[in-house]
Amino acid sequence: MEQLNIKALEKRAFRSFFRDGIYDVFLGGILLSFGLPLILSEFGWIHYETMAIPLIISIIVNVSALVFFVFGKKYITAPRLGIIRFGKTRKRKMMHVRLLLAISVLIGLATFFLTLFKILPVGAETGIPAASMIFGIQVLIVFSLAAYFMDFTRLYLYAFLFAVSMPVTFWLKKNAAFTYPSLYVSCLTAGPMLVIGLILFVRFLRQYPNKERVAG
Amino acid sequence: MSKQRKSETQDLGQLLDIDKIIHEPARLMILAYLSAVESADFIFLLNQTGLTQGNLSFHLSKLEEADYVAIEKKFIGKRPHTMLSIKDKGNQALKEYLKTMKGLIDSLVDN
Repeated sequence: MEQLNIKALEKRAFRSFFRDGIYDVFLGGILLSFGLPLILSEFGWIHYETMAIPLIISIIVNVSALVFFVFGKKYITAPRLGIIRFGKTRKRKMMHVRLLLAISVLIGLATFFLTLFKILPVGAETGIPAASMIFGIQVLIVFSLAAYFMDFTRLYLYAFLFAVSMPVTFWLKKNAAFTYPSLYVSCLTAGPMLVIGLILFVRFLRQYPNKERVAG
Repeated sequence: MSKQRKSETQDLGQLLDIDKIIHEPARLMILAYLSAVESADFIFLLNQTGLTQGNLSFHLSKLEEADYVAIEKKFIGKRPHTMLSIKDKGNQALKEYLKTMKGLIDSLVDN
């Protein structure tokens, strides 16, 4: 019972760092980085003949999300919530998360190159390329496990949203009469992450004034 | 003195042995949080415990005097920063306190 309460306190302390909404905005930004070039191409503003422009747009959104995450955690969250060094069990769990993400990146790269060399089937009948299915399944597994190790409940929902985003976009493109399928899918997947994140972020700023000057 | 009365007095006598440094709710809360992590700073404890700055400083110095917590003061840039961690002695005292309290409560409920 004593052990259980200490564990609960540790869990509560760790989870308090998800209150700022920065993780949510970051993940929403990453998902948007996939969708935004597709949306812009559907509007006819950019073209996929050369991959350079979509890739640059994707990188800009990715880097912006990363900058917001790193600087937000350092200059907004830490002065307000404080700094904690967690114990061995939490460090081990976070190591599992890093390992999972590394595996996910490797699978993503392998899928990308297999698609590039036309080894994976493009899914002519359904309109869903095998690469997008692999992406969806691996993201669902990896993010769900990360959610479990991080005690980050919202990440289960985000895992699902990440997983369905690509296959659904491709399916809609082939089978539905929507003009802007990528826009609808992005609004329904990256949208909730960004909205939840921004609401939490504003609430966090109001709830926790900057205590940086407090020295103790 | 009857046998039962003597036994009750012995049980309640444990109350006098309770560690009074830890028995104070604010200090118990501080120690519990610090035992859950490797170390934490002053702002984290301020948020988690809901104590005022003065109150937290006061209780931390009491815990430091008892050699239950380590307080490390340093500067990050030009700003002072205080990191806190529970010492082995503090951890041991907390475990002992919880065990004693649990035993006491159990014996009172049983009676």
